Amino acid sequence: MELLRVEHLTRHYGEGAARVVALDDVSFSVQKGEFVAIMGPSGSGKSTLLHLLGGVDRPTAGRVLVQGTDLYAMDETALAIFRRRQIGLVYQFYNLIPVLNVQENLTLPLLLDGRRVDKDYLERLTGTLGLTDRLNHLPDQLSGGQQQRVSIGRALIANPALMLADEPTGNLDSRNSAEIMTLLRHFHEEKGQTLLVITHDERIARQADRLLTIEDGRITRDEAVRP
Amino acid sequence: MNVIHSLTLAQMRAKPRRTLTTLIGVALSVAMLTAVFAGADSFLDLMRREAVATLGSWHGQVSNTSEAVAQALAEDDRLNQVALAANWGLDPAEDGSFTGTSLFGVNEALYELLGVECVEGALPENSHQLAISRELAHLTGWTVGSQVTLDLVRAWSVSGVEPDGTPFYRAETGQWSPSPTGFDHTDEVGSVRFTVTGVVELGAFSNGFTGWLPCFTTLDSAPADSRWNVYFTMRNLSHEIWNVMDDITALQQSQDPAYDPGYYGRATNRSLLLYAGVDEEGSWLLTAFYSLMGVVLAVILIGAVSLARNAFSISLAERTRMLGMLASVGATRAQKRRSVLFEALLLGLAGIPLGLAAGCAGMAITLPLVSAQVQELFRFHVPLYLSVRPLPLLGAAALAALALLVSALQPAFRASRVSPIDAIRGAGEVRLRPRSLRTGGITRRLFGFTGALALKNCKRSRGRYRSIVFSLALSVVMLLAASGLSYYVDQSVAMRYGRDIPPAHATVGLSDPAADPTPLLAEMQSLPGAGTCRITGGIDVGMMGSWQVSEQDLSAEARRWLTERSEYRVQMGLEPLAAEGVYTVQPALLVLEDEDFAAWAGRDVTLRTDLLDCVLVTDNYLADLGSFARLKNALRIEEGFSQTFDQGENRFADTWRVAALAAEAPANSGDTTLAGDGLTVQLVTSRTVFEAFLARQAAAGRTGSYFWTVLYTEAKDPVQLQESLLEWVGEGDGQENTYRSAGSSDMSSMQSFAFLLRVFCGGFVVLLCLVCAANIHNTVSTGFELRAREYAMLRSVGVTPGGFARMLRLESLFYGIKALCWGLPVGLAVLVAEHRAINLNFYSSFSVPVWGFALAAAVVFGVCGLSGWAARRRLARQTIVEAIHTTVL
Repeated sequence: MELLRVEHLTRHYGEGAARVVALDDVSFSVQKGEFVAIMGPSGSGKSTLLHLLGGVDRPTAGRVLVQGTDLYAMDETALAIFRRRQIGLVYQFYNLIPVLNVQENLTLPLLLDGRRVDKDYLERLTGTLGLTDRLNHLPDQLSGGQQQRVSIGRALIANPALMLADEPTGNLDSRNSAEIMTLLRHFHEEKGQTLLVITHDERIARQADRLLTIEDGRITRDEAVRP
Repeated sequence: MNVIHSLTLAQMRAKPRRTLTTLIGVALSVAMLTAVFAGADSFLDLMRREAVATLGSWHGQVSNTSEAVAQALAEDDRLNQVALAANWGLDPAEDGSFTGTSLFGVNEALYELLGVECVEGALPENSHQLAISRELAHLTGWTVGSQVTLDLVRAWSVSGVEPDGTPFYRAETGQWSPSPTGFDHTDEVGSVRFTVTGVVELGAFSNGFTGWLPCFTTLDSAPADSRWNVYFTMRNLSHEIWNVMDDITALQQSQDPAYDPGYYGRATNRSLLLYAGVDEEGSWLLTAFYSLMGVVLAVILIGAVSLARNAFSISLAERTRMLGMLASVGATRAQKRRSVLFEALLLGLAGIPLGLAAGCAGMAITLPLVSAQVQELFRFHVPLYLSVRPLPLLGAAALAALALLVSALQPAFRASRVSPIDAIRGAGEVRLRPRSLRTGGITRRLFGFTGALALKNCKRSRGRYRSIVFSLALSVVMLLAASGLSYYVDQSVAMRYGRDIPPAHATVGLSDPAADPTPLLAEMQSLPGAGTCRITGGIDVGMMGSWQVSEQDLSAEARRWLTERSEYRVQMGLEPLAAEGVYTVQPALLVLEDEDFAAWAGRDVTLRTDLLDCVLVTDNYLADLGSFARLKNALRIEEGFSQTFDQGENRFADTWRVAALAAEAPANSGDTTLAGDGLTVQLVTSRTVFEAFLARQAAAGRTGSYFWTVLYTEAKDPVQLQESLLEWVGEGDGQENTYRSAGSSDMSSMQSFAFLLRVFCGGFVVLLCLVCAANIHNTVSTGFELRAREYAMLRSVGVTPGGFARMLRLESLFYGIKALCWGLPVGLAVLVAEHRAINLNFYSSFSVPVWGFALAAAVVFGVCGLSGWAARRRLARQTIVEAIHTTVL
């Protein structure tokens, strides 16, 4: 079943001579439960693609459909609500809210939605993430690996249809990187979470089902890694 | 400029809006400091000029002394200018139309030191020429070129009843009369012929002899035994003047055979000496003046330092990462510290001259605008304008520079401690503690999760939070203090003079109460400068009988005030207001024209004409021995209450009745609402009812007294009206059974005072609020900008634009609420203190200017809301991706 469909997605920055084509007529689709890795050299357009898939940027042309819903046909408010319910984003630099403690950061999408937090689910999730004894800590009281685990938890708390991660291990040492990837794989394999991960690390890419390679804003390769 | 300086400058340029706001804040603070210094200096200058205008520019003087003393002083090195006036003698007017002429031989310094100015012709150049005063020219008809002969007599007493040397002369008999002590002298000087060469304005010259008009010739031919007056200025005005004055006494004793120790004759120009800091006796006045100035300066400095310190802290927060990076490549602590100090220097270099210019320009415009009120208030002869010496300006600049330095010091030291790790860690936020971010459950319940998040954001940086709350609370306190001052002074003016009195008015009393005042009203209406004219009238307190009430009939407030007054009266040895707990109440009657009455009382109040039917005012304005009170419902009186009064045989006698009650006395009723001493009530009736009463009295052959009519006029042009009123009053007084008087100057002084207070308090508060607003704007908007990335993060996890706007609005709201929580109680305490101070003489129950509170709240929420709105707009323009990638460097 197709979960994500990208049609002729294009993104330009700047005008005239200064115009940069970050993404150039990209089309592909992702099936529900698929784990897709996206690789490419710096400046190839990986992050731009991920931001457009996450609904946090606006394309110059083209469409992004998540479960048949065209993200950019919605107004700002509807898109924001869609984002918090259907898309989980994980950044390289965690981007946690410094004034909220771990529990509040984790449950932020639910709190914003005015939804009740399922305590059992939260307990299981924090247990899996290894954050049970850190719930009342502020982000700057955590290590980088712990912060990234909070951001993964935040991305998953609302059971989103699609989880996007932008170099989630790019800021971590090898031990923490391995832990984070284990977690992501766990959620993919155990919960069937659809996952798109941008990475520079070939070893991480090899853990995915499918690998997309981007160069100069275009998909140059689309290969199955683990059939 | 080294690399640190270049980077600092680049940083300031990168944030033009914040830099400009800080610069405006600094310039405003300097402008206020300048305004205080320039205002104070201009006021001192005004007082100096006033002293010169009324007494002259001399520092010391001795009168009625010998030529030897005068010459000794003329040669004294310590003195700069010495003005000499030799008293030739007096020439009584032959026709008796005025007392006479007094002739002085004077030197040129006299004209200068006493401000004697030649307005026609020229000053005398030899002892055959004469300069006469304008008044003398008017009375005698002498003009420039007239040949006049003065038959001079020297006459004075050296002791006794008239110690200043005033001669005894009776103009009505043309006789010199012996003084009771018999020590007076009259010596013939002889006839001297002069040619009038000039007419002079006398300025501050006074011969001290009432009625004797001075004229001047040169000093050279003064009769040998003339008595001399000497005025001098010191070469350096210092305490040395007291030695000079002592030396004069010694000189008088040794060089003046006619010296009379009982007659002092020496004086200093106290006002001039006081402003030069030489007169110690009056120095308390200057101390009080400078203390007040100090308080105002302190308040301004608190605002300025709060603004500047905050601006530097913000700037530092924005630069922490950059400084950390500089540290990682080897920048020393001193270099990092200099970065902040350099910013202070640049802001000072631009802001201080700007502020000095703005402050001077502001005062140059304001002072002449309030000059008329200042002159009215202090009875000054000279106008107020900006006059500022370089030293006070330097003082303002130095104080501002010091404030900037003090503000920059702590951020500078913080900057010096920024380490490379700060650059790696992030934007340099202070370390957060879970406890300091705790928000109550109520906030979340009331405002939802976004509200709780907004409150956490407020609290995240304690320094910034406190700075904003402090600035806002300071604005609230200042606004309340200023509105309170204005409100209580207005209340006092109302208690003392009635309400809404036009600045100029005339009282026209008609001894025949039945006389028609309308022609006079038409006359007044036609006066130049007059606006709308009104007639009121009434019967005085005490002329409409009285009745007695016990303490139980009084409100608690009235009982308290009357008891206090009674105790005071007993202390002063006077009769208390109450006799064995029983007070006497006296009514006063105010008559309004029918239309005015209907407009005031309302159309539904109908009065009977078969008796003196009135409306009783329940808001009592009471006066007792210079103390005033405004008491609400002091007396329990019901509608239908009536009293009969009888002024005596063939005098008014009738019954008055309370037809209705009204809280407030009519506006524009002027001092007619001012009751007499003790417990009085105000009755108001219409012209128709009053005329029916007069007709009844006439039919019974009764006539009244203590009846008055007042014509009021509003002023289109107060100055012109004042002049034309005085003339009109002077012309008509005493004619056709009327007496006239023009507006109470006391009252306009109080109104001038209230006006000045409003202008200066208002201006001060507005400027201070602007400084606070700049501070708040800087802090709030930078706080938002520093967190642009976080906000983008929130948006990326699904905060809607509406929710985002709501969160920022709530953040502004929380700042406002917190500021009011601090500002309102402190402001209320200031109001209580102000009320207590004024209550010593003007008693009223405690009330607060509601508009002041509304204004304070509006200013606080307005400033916070606007700052938040501006920041929100800037943030909303960025896409989430742009903001997430923004790294604060």
